[in-house]
Amino acid sequence: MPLADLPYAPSRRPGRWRRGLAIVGAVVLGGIFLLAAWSKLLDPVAFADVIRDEGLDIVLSATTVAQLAIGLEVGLGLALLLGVRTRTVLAITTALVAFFLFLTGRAFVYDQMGWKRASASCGCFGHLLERSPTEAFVQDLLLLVPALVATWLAPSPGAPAPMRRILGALVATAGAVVFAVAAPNLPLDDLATRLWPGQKVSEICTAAEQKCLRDALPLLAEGRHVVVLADLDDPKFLAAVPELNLYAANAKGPRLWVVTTASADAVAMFGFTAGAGFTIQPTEKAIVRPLYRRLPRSFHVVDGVVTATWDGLPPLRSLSASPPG
Amino acid sequence: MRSVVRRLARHAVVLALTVVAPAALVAGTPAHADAAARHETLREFQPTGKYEWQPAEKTDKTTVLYFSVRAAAYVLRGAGVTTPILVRTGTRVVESFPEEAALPRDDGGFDLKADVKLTELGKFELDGMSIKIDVTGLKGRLVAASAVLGWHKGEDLLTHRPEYARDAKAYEPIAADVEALRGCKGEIRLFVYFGTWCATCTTVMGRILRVEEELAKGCKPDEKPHVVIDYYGLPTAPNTWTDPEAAKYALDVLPTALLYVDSTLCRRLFAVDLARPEAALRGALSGR
Repeated sequence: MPLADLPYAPSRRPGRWRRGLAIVGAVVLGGIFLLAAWSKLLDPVAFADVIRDEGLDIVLSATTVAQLAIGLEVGLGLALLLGVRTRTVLAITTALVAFFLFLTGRAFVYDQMGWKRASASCGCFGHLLERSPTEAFVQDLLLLVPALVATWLAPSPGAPAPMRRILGALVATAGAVVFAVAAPNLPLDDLATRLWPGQKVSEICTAAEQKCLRDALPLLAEGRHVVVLADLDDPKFLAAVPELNLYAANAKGPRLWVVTTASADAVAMFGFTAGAGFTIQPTEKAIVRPLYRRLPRSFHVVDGVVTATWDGLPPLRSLSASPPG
Repeated sequence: MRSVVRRLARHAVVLALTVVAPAALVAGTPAHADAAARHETLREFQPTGKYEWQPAEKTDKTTVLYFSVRAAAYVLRGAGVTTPILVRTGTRVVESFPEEAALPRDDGGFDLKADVKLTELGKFELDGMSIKIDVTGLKGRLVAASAVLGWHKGEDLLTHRPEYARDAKAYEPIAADVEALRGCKGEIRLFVYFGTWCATCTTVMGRILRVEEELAKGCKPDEKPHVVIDYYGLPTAPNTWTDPEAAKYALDVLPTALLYVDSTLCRRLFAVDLARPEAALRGALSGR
């Protein structure tokens, strides 16, 4: 075969700089994809909520879309890191980047025009990285596009990529989907949310407007408190109302606060219908949503610092025996 | 002689066992005996200002509304009802009980007797955001209390909102900060913007009122304390931020307190500051 007809004849082979840039671009892009996939893997339910909010559950359910999207991110991220930069992989990667930019771009426009706010966690990183719509769009534009362009500078040679690398990426994709299905039931709340032991209450704020939990619950800065994040429509929480009433009435342990994103009117109705005698604090969704994967979720605060978290309701009996707030 | 002594000793033992010991037991456990007479759950009823009773037929007679966290129930008492009424929120049952079954507490509330005889009158209905009661001898609604609007003094709020008064009593301000703020020249003004409907405001209002009370101590009736506090109640949404005062000062969060020194706005204080109002005031004034 004539030398000139080889896929990468010397005259057509990408130069060393282009190949270097392509590798750097692929590593950056692959790394971002894996990091983004990790943040979504920890809380696929929240990612499904975002998909639902964005209206992307047209053909498949939001949960299925979320699981597949996570798998795709893992597979593509690994493929890029392993040097599998075939035109197919790059084409899919380009489509995914374009999609992220569409989401963050739309949120940016809505925010600028004062229209209905898109989810503050749209784009790559879910609740682990709270970004304003402007931050999300600009960061994605500046980070993803150059990396993508660099990757296209030197696609992989025409020969088939090593099978081991492709298999590795496929196995990782399958593993990611399985993990995404199982994740909601795994004890990952401290990792997956912005609430963990040691977290300062003063740092639990929204990225966009800097509204903080301490503004709604200013007394958490001092003394001992137990906070329950709850959905007032949840039958599990409803069943716990008598126990919570008794704890609040005895006033022996840390002071009890129940936090909900329900409106003040809904809270009043709940008081009438459920017989709740304890304090229920309506709080903005943007502040509360990053703090849980499932409700109810509870935490203990001492002088403004979270000391313990619980999946579900707190251990009220043992708290009753501890010092009061 | 010895037998007389033995007989006297025997009498003394019997006397001790049959008279002195039981008397000591009874005398030594008055609280236990008293607690046993109070109902296990229908207790700790406290006056509340969060809701108000609107009878179907207007009357000048006063009805006081009480609430118990433990019982998750309201009680209506006073001249406006023929007999006290118990309203249980969870089961929606409305019952009456005799006035003498209410045992007063030191904190101004009351407990019900353990053997209180409750007479079921019926059930209430939810009607929008109110509780509608239409039972034998009682017709009316329990509704959210109207928002306190406009300028008020602290004593008005303590009367209107018993919850604020209880929180004020329970709060212990930092003595050193209060001492540093004391004086009777009325030079400093604090304007507190709040809503009686605002949950966050409710957590700090009692503290501000307590600090105000502490600062007034030692001043004569015709003198003003060093820090004069006025309160402005804002309406509920959607009119909160369009209220003239809110618009004038571009308020967008409650509670907000504006601190003025020599008629100049010195600092805006928010909920996180007003959790310790005396410390926030001292810090703001010393950091000028």
